[in-house]
Amino acid sequence: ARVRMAGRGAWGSRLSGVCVLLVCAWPASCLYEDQAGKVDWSRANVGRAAFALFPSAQREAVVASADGVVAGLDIQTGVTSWRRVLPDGEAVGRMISVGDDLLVTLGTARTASGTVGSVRMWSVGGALLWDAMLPEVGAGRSPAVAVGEGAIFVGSGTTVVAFHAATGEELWRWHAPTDKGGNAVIVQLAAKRTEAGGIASLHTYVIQERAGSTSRVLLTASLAPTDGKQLDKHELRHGDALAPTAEVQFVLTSDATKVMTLSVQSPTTILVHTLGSSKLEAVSLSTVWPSEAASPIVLLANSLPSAAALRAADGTLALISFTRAGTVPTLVRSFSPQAGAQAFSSASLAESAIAAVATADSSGQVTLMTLKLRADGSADGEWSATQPCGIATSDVAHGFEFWLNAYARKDGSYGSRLLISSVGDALQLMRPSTDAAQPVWVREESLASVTAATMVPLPAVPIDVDEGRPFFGLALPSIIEGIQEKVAMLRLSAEEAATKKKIQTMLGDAYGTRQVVLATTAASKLIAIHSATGEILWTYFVAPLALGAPPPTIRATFVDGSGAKATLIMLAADDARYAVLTLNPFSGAVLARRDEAKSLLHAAQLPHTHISSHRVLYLVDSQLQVAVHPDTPAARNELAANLQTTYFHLVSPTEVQGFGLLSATDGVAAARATERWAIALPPGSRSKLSYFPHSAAVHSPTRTKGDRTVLHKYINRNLVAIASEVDTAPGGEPYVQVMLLDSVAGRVLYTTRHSASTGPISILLGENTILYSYTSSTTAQPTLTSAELFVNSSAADDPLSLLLAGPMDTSLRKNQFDAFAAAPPKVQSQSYAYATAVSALGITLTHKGITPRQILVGTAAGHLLAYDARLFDPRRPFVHPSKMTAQDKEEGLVPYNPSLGGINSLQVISHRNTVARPRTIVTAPTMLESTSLVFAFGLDLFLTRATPARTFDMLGEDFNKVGLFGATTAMAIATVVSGWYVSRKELAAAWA
Amino acid sequence: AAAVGSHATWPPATMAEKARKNWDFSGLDTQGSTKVGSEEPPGYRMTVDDSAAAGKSKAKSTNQDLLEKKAWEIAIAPIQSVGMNLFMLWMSGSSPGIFNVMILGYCFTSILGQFSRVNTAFLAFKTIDTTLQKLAYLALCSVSLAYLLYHASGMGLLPTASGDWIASIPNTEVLEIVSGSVK
Repeated sequence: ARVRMAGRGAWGSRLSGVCVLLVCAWPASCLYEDQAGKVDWSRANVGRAAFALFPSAQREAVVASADGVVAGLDIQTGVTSWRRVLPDGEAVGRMISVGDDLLVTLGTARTASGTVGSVRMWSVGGALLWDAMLPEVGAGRSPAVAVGEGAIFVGSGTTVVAFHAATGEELWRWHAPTDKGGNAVIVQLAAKRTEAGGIASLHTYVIQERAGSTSRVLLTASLAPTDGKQLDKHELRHGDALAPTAEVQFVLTSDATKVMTLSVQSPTTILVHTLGSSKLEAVSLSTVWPSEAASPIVLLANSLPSAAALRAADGTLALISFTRAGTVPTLVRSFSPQAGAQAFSSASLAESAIAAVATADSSGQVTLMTLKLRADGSADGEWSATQPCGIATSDVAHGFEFWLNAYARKDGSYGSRLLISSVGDALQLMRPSTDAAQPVWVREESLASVTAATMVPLPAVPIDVDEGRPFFGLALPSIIEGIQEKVAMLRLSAEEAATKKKIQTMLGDAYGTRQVVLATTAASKLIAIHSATGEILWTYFVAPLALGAPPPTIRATFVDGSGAKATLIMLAADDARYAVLTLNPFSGAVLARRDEAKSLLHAAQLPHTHISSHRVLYLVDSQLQVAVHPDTPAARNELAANLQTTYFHLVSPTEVQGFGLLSATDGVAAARATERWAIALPPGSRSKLSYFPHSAAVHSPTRTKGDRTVLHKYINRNLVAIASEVDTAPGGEPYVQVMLLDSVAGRVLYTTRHSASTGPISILLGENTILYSYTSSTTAQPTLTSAELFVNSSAADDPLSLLLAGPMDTSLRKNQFDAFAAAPPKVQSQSYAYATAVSALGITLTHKGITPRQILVGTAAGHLLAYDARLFDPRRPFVHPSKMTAQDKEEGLVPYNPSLGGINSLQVISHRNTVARPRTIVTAPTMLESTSLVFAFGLDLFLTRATPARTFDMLGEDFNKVGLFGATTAMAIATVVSGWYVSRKELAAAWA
Repeated sequence: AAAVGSHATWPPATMAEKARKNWDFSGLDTQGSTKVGSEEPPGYRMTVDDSAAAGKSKAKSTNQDLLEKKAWEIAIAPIQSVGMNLFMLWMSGSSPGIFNVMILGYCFTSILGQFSRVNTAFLAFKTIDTTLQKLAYLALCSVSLAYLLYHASGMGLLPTASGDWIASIPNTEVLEIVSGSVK
């Protein structure tokens, strides 16, 4: 077993190899059982909550997210009791409880044949009891559902299917009548109850679209719940007053007597159908809202007894009830909007229902008002007094929704809890209480939608006094300091020690493994996580940039400076404006903010110069005008100095456009951008891109072969690797295309196409390697292809020529790389069959780039695996292992095998954790050359350390330090004692 | 010397014995002075009684031949001494392990030692011209050294390939810096 070290040369590497050989065995990424969780952490998320239920049988809240995750959360602590991640592509559109201990989720799922409806029955403990797929989906809608008589009735597309609630067995099926060539979609099911609680009839609402006509008809058919026999059918009028089929929303009252929907023809009219009748009543709301200024009105989806909840555009909320036969609505109660954000929720409580309005003011203080509704829809009393619930996360002030959990107390009163999901995706539980200061618990569910992550090492000392001082001292002072601190810690009380430890975790260590992970999320939130503990250090929610503006997107984050002086620059933008925020990456404090009323196209940092200590940012708006940040004359000069060498590109689904910079003509803008090139991507394709970071260290420009001749790596940080998954027209063959672009010149350096291949694709660009994954559409075999790029040149590189040529003057243009003229690289590639579908690829990055690299693979099943990069070496020889040449063995090549084999559990660095739906793997170097931080994110987060050649620069955890110290001390004592003894003996001999 | 002296004191030597012990070899190597100053011991013949060449070689069969012969023996000594080393090297193989490197180092020091001993080795033959022998000695040492270098090179210990000079291979610098955004 040998460790391959890419040293300064084969000569040096051989000698160092001899030394390393003595201490290292084969580099393995596995870890011992007791090491699990010591250098890694994981975080399981649910995602943005779309539905929540509070089953009475458990002290849990069951939450379903639209992304297809169903989870039970402990209501006291917020800890995930159980979580089920539905297959990729499955969305939950509805969740209802059945009795006390069952749940049904309904939604749409993606299969090879298209989108289908899905229905799943769960126990409240999270066990999947049965599931079924419904082949039709009407207009992309989630299936409609009704429950009763020990059965679940599901309407999807044109079919109603009855399933046995306990077994999932199909009881009967009913097909909606369709016009010839027309289309029909079941939009609602309602079960009319009998006095005894059984089902009298099942009412189906079908929207029929006539062939060749835009007019639609709303039909209702009542079915016998036992056998699905059609009892009667009515064609209801007002079909044209309905919203588009895909969006129309029907609300069933909680007593299952009326079905309502809002008319699109008159915004203040509600269409009400009483179950069993043959008419659809148009009820005018003009008596409730005399003026039409409040329109548009929204019908809220909450089920109330004989009542409906409506909200006007100005935020006014009205609860209306309907007389049994009449068409005049009664205003039960209304609620006028207050400053801050409001949300409405309701919960049923025995025979009655509780309606609740929660308000969050600008400081995040949440207050609650409740109203009890009787079974006939009338109010039992007035709105309750405002009950404070404490201060929630600050983003609730910009909007939230909540679910009310009302429970009856023994004294007849009722208590309530609020499960709040803020606009920044923070899920929190609050309780009305006069002394409540903060939520009972908070879960940052925006971490399920992380889009990018940057890592910043924590400073070693709180304040860096001297600019030139290194942040991580040499080993010896650290060791002495460590010993001193340990001694000091012994003297402290337990409480003081805990505080001190907490302060210390916020300081960097000598190895640089303590860093702040700055995660950008799709919920306009930036979250800082401690890399060693996984603790959330701070969150920053970017409020809409203007009143009524859409939520901004965090476009990019940049780190300027290092150590305690590091600053974080965040760019948040919506369609019409952008903001540049400067934050302290360790505390989240906002240091500066700049707002611009321009649409941001692109932003990037200029290279580091010695002119100023800060890196200048250039910002390109949609008018192609370039601004600098900070906007100072020095920054403008710096941009002017970099105009010739600064390029950028924009990637859209259809093309990649390259831009260069020119000096500004008007004198207002710092510069202007001009389009240089554009390359079209295959039509109808989904693409993924990969870059090799400019900051990543590369140790050697060459690769040494077994005979010690060299191959010159093609290293160009301006390469962009684009993998496109192309669905051709029906009947055509899908293919995967990979393109390598030089983004300065817009030249395609390499392109390859894999026929009969399809996604999911992922791509990784290393220093001179490309690795991408796809699936063969004929054999469904996940495949990985690697390619290595070498310089295509015949320049003399023998030792004599190198010695005679002397050092090269790289300041001369002729000795620099010319993106426009350089020969394209020579590409070698190989493909390998892989055991499972790949969702994300990553590569380890180390401080100096000397340590051999590891390839990190995130599988669709949620494993994170680390492979030696040698397995993806396109130079693997096509020979039997016994026939390997000595040179290939010397180089450490592995004989080619068309398969990479199964999943070896020793390579699973996520060990017992699951990283559900991994999207991206981000790596960052530490101060230890051997160690790289690996952060994988998708629905879940996982952070660990990767050591491709083991921790060769660090003593092992089980290193016997006491033994070493003892032996050294004993030797020192023995030396002194024996010296003294010998001199004494010699003196005695001299006297004798 | 003291020990020899003490032996010489007992039994007490006569004057004749002392005179006989006082040997003088200085005249031996003198050209054409075969029988000057000393008598050949009885039965001793300097020349081989070869009837065919007896007449011609009689004159040349001097001590010089013997010395030259001895000098040549010294000259080819490096090959003999290196034989063992070569065997060790051959046995150790060509992988750059720590023992192989040690053996190689040992061989190198022994060869370099032989180089440095070239004058010492032929010091005893100062009466004859040993240039050829020295040249042969050096040549053979060089051959051994060449073999050792070859072996070292085979083990990859010599920086003879471009892979050993990576530090002097210039890295192409890319001046342009590109960044990208997704629209």
